[in-house]
Amino acid sequence: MTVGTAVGTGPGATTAGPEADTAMALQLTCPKCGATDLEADQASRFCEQCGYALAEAVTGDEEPGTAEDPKPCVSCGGTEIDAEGYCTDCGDLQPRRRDRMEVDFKAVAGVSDRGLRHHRNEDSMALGPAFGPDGRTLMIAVVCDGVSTSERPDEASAAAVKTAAKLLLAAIAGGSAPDGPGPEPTRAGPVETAVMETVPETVVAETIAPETLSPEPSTAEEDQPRRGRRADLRAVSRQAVIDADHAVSGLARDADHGNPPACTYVCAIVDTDVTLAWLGDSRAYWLDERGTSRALTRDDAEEGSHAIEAWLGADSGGPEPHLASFTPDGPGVVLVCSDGLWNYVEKAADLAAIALPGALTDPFTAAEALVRRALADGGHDNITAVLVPYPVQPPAEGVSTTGVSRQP
Amino acid sequence: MSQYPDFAFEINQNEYLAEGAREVHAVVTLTATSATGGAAAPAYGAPAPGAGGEKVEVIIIDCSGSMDYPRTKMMAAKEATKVAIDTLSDGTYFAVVAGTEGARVVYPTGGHLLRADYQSRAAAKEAVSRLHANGGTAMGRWLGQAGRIFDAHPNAIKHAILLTDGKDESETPADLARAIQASIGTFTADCRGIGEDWEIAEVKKIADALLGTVGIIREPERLAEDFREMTANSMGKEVADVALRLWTPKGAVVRFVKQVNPTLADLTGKRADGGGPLIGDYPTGAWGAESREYHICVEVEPGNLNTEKLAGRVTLVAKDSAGVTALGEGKIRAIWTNEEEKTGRINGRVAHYTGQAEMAAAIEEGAAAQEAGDMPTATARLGRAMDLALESGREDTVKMLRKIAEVDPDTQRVLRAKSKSDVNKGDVMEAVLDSTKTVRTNKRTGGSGS
Ligand SMILES: [Zn+2]
Ligand SMILES: [Zn+2]
Repeated sequence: MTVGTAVGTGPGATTAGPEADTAMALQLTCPKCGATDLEADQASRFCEQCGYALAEAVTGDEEPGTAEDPKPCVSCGGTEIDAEGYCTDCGDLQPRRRDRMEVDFKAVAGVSDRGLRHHRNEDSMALGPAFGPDGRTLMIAVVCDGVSTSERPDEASAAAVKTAAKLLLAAIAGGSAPDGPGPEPTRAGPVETAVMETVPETVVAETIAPETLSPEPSTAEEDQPRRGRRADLRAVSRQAVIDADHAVSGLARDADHGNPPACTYVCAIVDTDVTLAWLGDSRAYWLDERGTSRALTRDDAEEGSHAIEAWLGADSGGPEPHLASFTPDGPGVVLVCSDGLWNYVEKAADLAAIALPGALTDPFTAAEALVRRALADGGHDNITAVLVPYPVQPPAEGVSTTGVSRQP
Repeated sequence: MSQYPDFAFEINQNEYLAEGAREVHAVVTLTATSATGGAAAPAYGAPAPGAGGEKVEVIIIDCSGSMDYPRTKMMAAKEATKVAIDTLSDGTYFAVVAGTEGARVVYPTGGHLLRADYQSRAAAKEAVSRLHANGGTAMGRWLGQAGRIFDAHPNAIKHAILLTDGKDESETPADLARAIQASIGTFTADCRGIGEDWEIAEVKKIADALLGTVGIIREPERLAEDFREMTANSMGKEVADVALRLWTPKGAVVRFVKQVNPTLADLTGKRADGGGPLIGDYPTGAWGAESREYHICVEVEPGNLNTEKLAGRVTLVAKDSAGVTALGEGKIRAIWTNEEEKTGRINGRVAHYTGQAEMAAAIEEGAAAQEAGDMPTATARLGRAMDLALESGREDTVKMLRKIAEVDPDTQRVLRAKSKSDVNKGDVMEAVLDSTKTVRTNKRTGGSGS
């Protein structure tokens, strides 16, 4: 068996690199029960401890694995909480899982927080490993931010990340682009060009150099299968956005008063290349310690404005996502985040200074640090940060084994 | 058991409150779709909808001596009663009561009710033809007689039509109050006053308690059409006893629960135990295929910033021999925030019905002040009513107000209330009664669903 990007944890498997071959499966922490001796590959997609299906990405919003004792009301101590989370005595809404979602796979991790000024968390994330038919392990990270002027934005973002992640995992497992549009979407080229050419002035310095973002890199190492994979992953990325748009559109009701549920979208698939798809003002960044940290996405928003120009939802008009891919030239970390983070720390170099070097081996702690910074600076919005170390790798020895999808 | 209509449940509110704010407003829109797929008002002779939906209709006609002055009143009452009998769905149990200082059942005479069919309708109309005006007015006894008739059919959908032309002078107000009290929850009643010699306040007490409407008939020839409409509306009912069940959190005060469309009716004082100290039931009477709106205001203990409280949970419940059945549910939420862009939104429906209720109150108070000769108050209240009528585009109301107040021809605003001697009493009564009918709005500006 050949595992493309995963790095074994066994003795001797020390070579880390985009194309390192190893026979060892990726080691992951079970998102449900926290088991750490989980060997996840194409052959075993279920946790042997609890049966959790790794074919599902994790959002941090899952029902707890074990029945929790009912907690008393945080306001009045009442013991009866209804199915929707309201105290049946004082009516106060109890803290929800969504208020603070934490997911730690070790090889990818994310934190999503309500922040200090909103009454609920309208951001959602989905992350986890994706297994290709050839034994390759990829990492996916999806972040959506509910449009706060729409109805039920939290439901919009939750539906979007779940739908997109499901499609991504299935399509990657199937080894090719899903049915539907051809492998190379007709508008992918022009959209990508637009990304390269019209980056806003303020982030030019941080933007990917055109050659690394080129749709057809001509580096010496470039091989045909890899180019094919990249095209497939773009097609898959695009289909995931279309599926997510349908899912969010399906939430619309007559009573929405012209503001049907809506959300932004950003997704990174980390393989030997990083494939990006986005709509709205949620972002992806490349962070490294070599001074080449940069934004990977360009907002669908008027410069300096929070009014986004593209979104998912019934009134989205069938959006065409921006697509891009690039090949990092060394170790680093892909950050996928909502504007609740980058409103406080916008420059890639500043984000890198907070996240690195820890994020390379412990992305969860680094994601916590990023979120903590946004909270300390005001926490005006919901904050979501997902970090994917590159190359795709297992946790370092000795890192504590925190169960993921946990409730603080 | 009988089928219930399907209820669509919608709540309009701005759930965002400024820090420290206590009052939460919401408009609940309930739209029932017939369980039998029938129209709201079955045509003449159509079978009663819903196999189990047994109906009883009692028509009470004022036969006091004054009904002959002018004679057209008694003639119109007989004609209208016949039209109502013809409008009854086949199979409906029915009775006609002649109301004086007593209450005589003129049809049926055999002691037990008969179902509406060709024969029973003919016999009933024959009995109605022989009615004559002679005697006094004791509406309490009329209601008592209706109650005894309904008693034999406890599980039916029971409705009465009551027509009067005068004051309740053959019994004491306490007698009437007792009779009303005994009728509450037993049957519903729509009341009509013909002419101008009856008291709105007196008849309104009956209609409010029995969850019905009050109307004035100024031209006797219009009575028949009104009776036909009321009867058809009654025949369309499919479920007898429906209540808004309102849960509110501990420490909350229900400021009011009002029906605001199609007519204004304050249900606040009708609260009955709904199962525990936090739950109250507000009766809404019988339902067919129709839509109504309710404005609910709850005062709650303010929560911390960026927290949410459930200020109310509204459940629509049907109560019958089968027990209590929930037909729909919605939430009234409260979220405290410093975001002025959110707290500043005004929910279009809440604002609209707040205005409609204020207009109705202003007309009633203005008319009372006019009657009492308190002209400054009358001018102020009618002036306010005119402003609100103009604002909400109620042209009919504007026309009615022009009859009881002097109005600036350019601005349409009220200059002064006319004195009692310069107004027609019927015009005042009409303005007061008309103001309790509301129009709908589609405005939802800044509003937010449940
Ligand atoms: Zn497990
Ligand atoms: Zn409580």
